[in-house]
Amino acid sequence: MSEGFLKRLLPLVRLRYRLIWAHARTGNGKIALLFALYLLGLSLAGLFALSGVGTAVADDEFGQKGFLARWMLTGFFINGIGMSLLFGVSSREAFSEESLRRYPLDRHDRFWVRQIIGLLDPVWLILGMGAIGVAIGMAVFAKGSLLLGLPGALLFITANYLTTSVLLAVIGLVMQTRRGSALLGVLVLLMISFGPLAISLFAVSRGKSLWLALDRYLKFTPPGAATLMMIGDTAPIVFGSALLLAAWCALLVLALRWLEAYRPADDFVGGGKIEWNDYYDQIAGLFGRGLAPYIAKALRYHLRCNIIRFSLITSPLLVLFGKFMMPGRSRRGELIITFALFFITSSATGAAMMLNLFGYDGAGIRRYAVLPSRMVRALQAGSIASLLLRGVMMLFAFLVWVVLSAYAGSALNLRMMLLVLSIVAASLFLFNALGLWTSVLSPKVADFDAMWNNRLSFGANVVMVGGVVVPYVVAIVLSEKIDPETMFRFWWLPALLMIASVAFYLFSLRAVERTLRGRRERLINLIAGAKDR
Amino acid sequence: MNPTPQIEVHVPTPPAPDAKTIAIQVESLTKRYGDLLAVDRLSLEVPTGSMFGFLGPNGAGKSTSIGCLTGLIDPTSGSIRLLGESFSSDSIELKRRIGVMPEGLALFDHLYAHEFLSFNARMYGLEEETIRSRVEELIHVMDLTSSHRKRLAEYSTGMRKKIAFAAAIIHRPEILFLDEPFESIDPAGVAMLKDWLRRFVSGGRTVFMTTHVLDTVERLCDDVAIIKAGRIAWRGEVAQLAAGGVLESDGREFNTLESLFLHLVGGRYEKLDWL
Repeated sequence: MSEGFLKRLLPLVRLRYRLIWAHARTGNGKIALLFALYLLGLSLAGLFALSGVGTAVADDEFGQKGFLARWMLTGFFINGIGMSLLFGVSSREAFSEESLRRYPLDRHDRFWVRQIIGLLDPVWLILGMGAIGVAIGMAVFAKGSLLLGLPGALLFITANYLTTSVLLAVIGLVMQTRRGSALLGVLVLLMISFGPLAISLFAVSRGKSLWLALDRYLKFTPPGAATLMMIGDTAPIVFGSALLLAAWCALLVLALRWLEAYRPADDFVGGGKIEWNDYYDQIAGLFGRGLAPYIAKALRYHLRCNIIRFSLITSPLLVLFGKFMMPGRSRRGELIITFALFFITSSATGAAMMLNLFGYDGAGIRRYAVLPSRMVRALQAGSIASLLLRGVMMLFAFLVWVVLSAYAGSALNLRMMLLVLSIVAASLFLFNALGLWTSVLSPKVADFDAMWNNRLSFGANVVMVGGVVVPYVVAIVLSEKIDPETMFRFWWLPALLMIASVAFYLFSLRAVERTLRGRRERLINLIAGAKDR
Repeated sequence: MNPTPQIEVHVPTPPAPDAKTIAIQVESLTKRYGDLLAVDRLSLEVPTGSMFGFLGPNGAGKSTSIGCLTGLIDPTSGSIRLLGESFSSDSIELKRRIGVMPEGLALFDHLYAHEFLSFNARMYGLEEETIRSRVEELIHVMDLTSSHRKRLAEYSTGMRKKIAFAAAIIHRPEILFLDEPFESIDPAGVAMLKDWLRRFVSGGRTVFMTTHVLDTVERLCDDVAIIKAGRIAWRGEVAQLAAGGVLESDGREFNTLESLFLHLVGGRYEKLDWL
């Protein structure tokens, strides 16, 4: 790090929080929302800390010697990665490598600034509180040392952040190339097809011995090493664990630096003949001359945007979660959870673009206004393209579910399949309809190339979170109350919901035009304003 | 001293023109953003088959005006007639007859050049055969063949301007609106575009452009309007400058467009003692 690094770092950290504040006070009620989110974050941090303390108490009570703490920290570790993948947790665009180049920072400084600012993201603070809770619990209730436990917790959370960054960098690199994204797609599909089944069969056959075997290896990972530091049995163990954690962090830093410096060969660059009438144009051609150019453009945008590609590819994984990752549930519980997961996945797949159809256009949004066409046609085409792609992926998820259910010997019947298909269609149409409205009423400038830091607007987030939480809660409530026979008797209910959703979608396609006209200039200024060159 | 030519100035209201010879006719165009008056009762006509320069300092209202003339922005009041017909942001048929290179270029950054150009051509209703030949020709003459498999986001600013220009002319519009067309393009590219524009105008079509490159305006445009704080401060012909004529304003004579421009909008010659 260069001389005066800290002197330059502090203003940047301050700037980060000023940006969050400035961003929050641009809309009515957002300050209240920000406070609410901070309060929620603090409550979560408190809960995590308490759960950490509780784990330490239980560990001591049952004489487990850190077994529970190790698994609790592993849970935090996996959650950190999962939350980053789901919610796009990383430093903001203002602190990207490109943006930091305007400051008097050299290459090394910029790397460290980005990591430090990334580590200050609320997710890591919340998870860090959990790790600190375990350290405090170990110190108070299990004769551990807070002096050793706290550095252990901090090293643990740093390793967690770095592991996530490495993973995101790898996925980002892979998704940048055509071959890479196809390869990732195959890997994900293999994982979907065989992974959950293999894990579930393996876990059932090995039982407790599996967890004990895994626990032996876990001691060499960041959660295991951090736990040993917190327990603080003997100096060699503590020292060795600290060294192991530091080595993890150092290796991850080296890997991250290498990945960031790595530039894959660009397989798009070069001359050659223009390819006319490709698949995009052929599919778009089915929708008539008025919509076809817009649909072809929208399809290209969907399938070239990493975050959307990743979301589409991984959608079948989520729906299989209910079937293979929730062992022990009754058949009726499993069925309802599966239905809910089909609904949730259908609502969330490709949601980043579906709920913000103009957000990725940048200055291009101005073109819609000067072309000889009603601007609503661009919105309608974007929505239809999204519906098409989401529909195809959900159909694929449905087929995978049918095949794997048959393979696992589950009883399948026509009504069950009709129920699933109706639920999928209802969710797809309902959320595409809502997406038309959020795209006009609550748009947000989105970064097309960013894989993980694309946050939706408040309105779009409400729709998306609603689409996840409501069906999940309903499924949990109903899962042990309704038996499959009752469900199958009311197979027409989801079909009715589907018809209502389709009607709402068709209505929205037309009705949204009036709102769009009223907000046209505001929308253009918002989306194009930040992207002018 | 050169003899002073008679300069026709249409401020504040122009004489009633013959609708058949007027390509663009604007009357009392006003655009207000809350308390900010971006364009204030702007009136002008642009004859068919002319090259019109619309000049002004930053923030004078040029882009807002051109936005109103192309359907990007709805005016607060006033009227616009293009090619003899009333124009608004809903005038779809009229929009087919104009070409626009808007503020910020309005490109779709994640398309390839041929995809973007054919998207525009299809929107203007061109036949597939025509689209293919024009797109390939435009990419070739704009010297973009070696880059056509890069997405527009990867293009340099000059290349992006060329693509936006190509998209504006691909359907052979009757009026071409260009917002700062020459900035950032290499000299050879600028020379080519100027040549195209001259041929475009000699074929009876009309160009309406904003630019800060006053030399270019002097050599290229027939008519010029200078806008300041949303209102037209000067309007006249500049073609006579090439023949040694002068421009007149407030009883003073100016032998370059730049000197007239600085007189109207106020020159800024502040010193930085520390520099």
